[in-house]
Amino acid sequence: MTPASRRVGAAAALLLALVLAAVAAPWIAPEDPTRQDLAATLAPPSRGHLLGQDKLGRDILSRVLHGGRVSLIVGLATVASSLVVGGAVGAVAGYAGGWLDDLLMRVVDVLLAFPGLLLAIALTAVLGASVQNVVLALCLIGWTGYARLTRGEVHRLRSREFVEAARALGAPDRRILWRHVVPLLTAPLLVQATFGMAGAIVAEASLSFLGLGAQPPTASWGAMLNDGRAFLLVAPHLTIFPGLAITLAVLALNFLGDGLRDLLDVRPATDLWR
Amino acid sequence: MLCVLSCRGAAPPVPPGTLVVALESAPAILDPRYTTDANSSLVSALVTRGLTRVNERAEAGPDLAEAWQQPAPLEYRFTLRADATFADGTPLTATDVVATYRSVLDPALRSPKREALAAVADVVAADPRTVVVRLHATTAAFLETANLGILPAALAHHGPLPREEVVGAGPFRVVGTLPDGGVELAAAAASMDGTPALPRVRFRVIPDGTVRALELASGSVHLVQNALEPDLLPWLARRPDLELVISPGTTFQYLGMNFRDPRLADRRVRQALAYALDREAMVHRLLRDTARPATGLLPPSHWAYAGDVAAYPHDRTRATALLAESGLGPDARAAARRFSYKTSTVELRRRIAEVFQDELGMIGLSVDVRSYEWATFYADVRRGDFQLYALAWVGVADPDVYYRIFHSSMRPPQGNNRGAYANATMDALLEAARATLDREERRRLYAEVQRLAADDLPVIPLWWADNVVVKSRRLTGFVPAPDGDLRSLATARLEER
Repeated sequence: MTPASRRVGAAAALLLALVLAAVAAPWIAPEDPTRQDLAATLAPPSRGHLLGQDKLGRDILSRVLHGGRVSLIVGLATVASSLVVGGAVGAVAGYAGGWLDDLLMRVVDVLLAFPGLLLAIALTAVLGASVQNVVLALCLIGWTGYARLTRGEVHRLRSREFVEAARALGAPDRRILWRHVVPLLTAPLLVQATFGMAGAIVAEASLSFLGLGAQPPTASWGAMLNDGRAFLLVAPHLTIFPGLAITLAVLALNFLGDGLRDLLDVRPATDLWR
Repeated sequence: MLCVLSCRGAAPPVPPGTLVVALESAPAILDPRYTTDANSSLVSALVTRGLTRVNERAEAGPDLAEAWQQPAPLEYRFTLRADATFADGTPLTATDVVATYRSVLDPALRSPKREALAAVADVVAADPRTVVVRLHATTAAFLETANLGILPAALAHHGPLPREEVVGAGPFRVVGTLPDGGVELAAAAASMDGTPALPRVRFRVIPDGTVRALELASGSVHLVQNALEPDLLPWLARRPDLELVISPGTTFQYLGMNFRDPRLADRRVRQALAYALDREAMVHRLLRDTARPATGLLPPSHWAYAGDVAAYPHDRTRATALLAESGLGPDARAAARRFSYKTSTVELRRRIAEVFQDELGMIGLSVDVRSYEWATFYADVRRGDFQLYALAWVGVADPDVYYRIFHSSMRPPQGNNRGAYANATMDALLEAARATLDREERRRLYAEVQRLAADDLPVIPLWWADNVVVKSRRLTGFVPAPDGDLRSLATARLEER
């Protein structure tokens, strides 16, 4: 077993555990994450509440589990929609070349010129604070990285012999693109998607931290961090546990991406969020 | 993150002996004709003085005016103190008072305080020490509104003055502004009541509550008033160099409702909301007993307070029954049982909103909490763009404030009837109360107003916030005022370490 495959295995196991915990949250969470108990606000971890209780006496463990659902949904939805839009735009630009390539890539350049998170903040501020609008805002800026990557790969592949051969046999462009080129993009896009998901989780946490993401009483890791900020001096557990959850999820995704890149022999990808 | 927050707008070095006060937001305006927010008013009151000054029972007492007479129902004659001077040593005369009042009354200068002085017909100087104010109509509250800070006549002809240019007769003068939006004052050598012992007072703006607490604990801030998370108070009180002082305050927290929404125009719905909210629990658990459940706008210390009004103890069964009577029971459409609730982004306000959301959820109402930064939130409230919101009235003095809040003619921009409440009986009571000068008759009429407000619920009273001060033990002689006024800093001192 290579170090890369060991890293992928460990990261995948951690990620799977987090995903399972989030998916099973309604069944495994000890309490309703919105149930308030004003008599026990800021209570430290105890046998009844393993991670303690928050500013309104809500069970932090239940909120971390349910908050994971928001983070993972935002991460998956953002990556999936960015992948579809960015992949399609990049494939068309890379394969068609010429003025269409120039036009689409200049649009990408313009969007990449904006600081990603700042643009997301502006968009959610205009569209209104909600999880759906967070996904929309992250997607509006997130697709550009996939478009740039796909375009480069397609541009490289379109002059390869097997594409020339298919073209000589009379295969139409659409068939060449979808049957012969796109399948070869899976590995680099998978690696990019892994990093993209980590970025989307951090971005969602940042937007929720600023009050632009999940709205009360919905639990989200970023919103929990924001809620706990005022009590750092007297109840640090309000911040530590959601912070730990974000760290673990992002760490697992980054290790997975790194490992997959090594295993699949993919060149380093552009990080959307750094 | 804390470092980023605390390093924001680093202030210049603190000169020795300077008292440092931390504020949540900047005192953006010091010109007393234009101050509307609490922090601007607090700092402005240290720089300027008015003809009268309102005491802790909300009664007018002498300040720049040492005495006054009312020779006719529509005329007041104020006699200025012989030693009245501005901070730069220039004598303060009746001409300055006239110029300041006329500038507020000048529509071109757009002072937000013009409405409060709407009853004033003219202000003239009879001699350098005598100011004559003539009114259009009998206005019992005039003396309380005569606390407007006086500016030199030469400055009063202009619109809002930049902070550095404000000159008044207060115990301090402005010496500069800080990069964080704060302001620095110095003791006025020519102060009428003697030069303050504090050579300088620096008001720093520290938006983050945790950073304010840390700066207090480290000794780099000496005073924070009403700007600390209640849960941090025990942590701060345990520090040997800090002192926690909690005293009854006059700030009234309420739940506002929009009567343009037919559901909220139904008194049964408003009463259901009042019964659904567990004010006692919120005061005890969330505010850590730094407030008292309120029965109305006027606190018990006020001369016109009436305590014998309808109360709404926490009663979920009754709230549910009232909702069902009004047609908003479980059978009503989900959309009919949904309300939006607007609040600011201040952590405590958002937390209170979440408790409301939970408690109203218990009686079958669904509440969308929307938190906005202060300017947006306040603009929405003033525009009437809300269903439910929570806000506070700070510095309530004369009960005539009821007129601006509940009279049907006082919708913004004329007044502060933001929810468009209209009740003919309330209008008649308020008109009668402001037209009489007899104190007992006013007390009786305002008692009626308070009883009607408690029955009809134009707003739902929540609590009167206590005045919560955490200060360095080195600061002596500072006496917190019920309305948060800081004027006792004029007689305070900061002891050497």
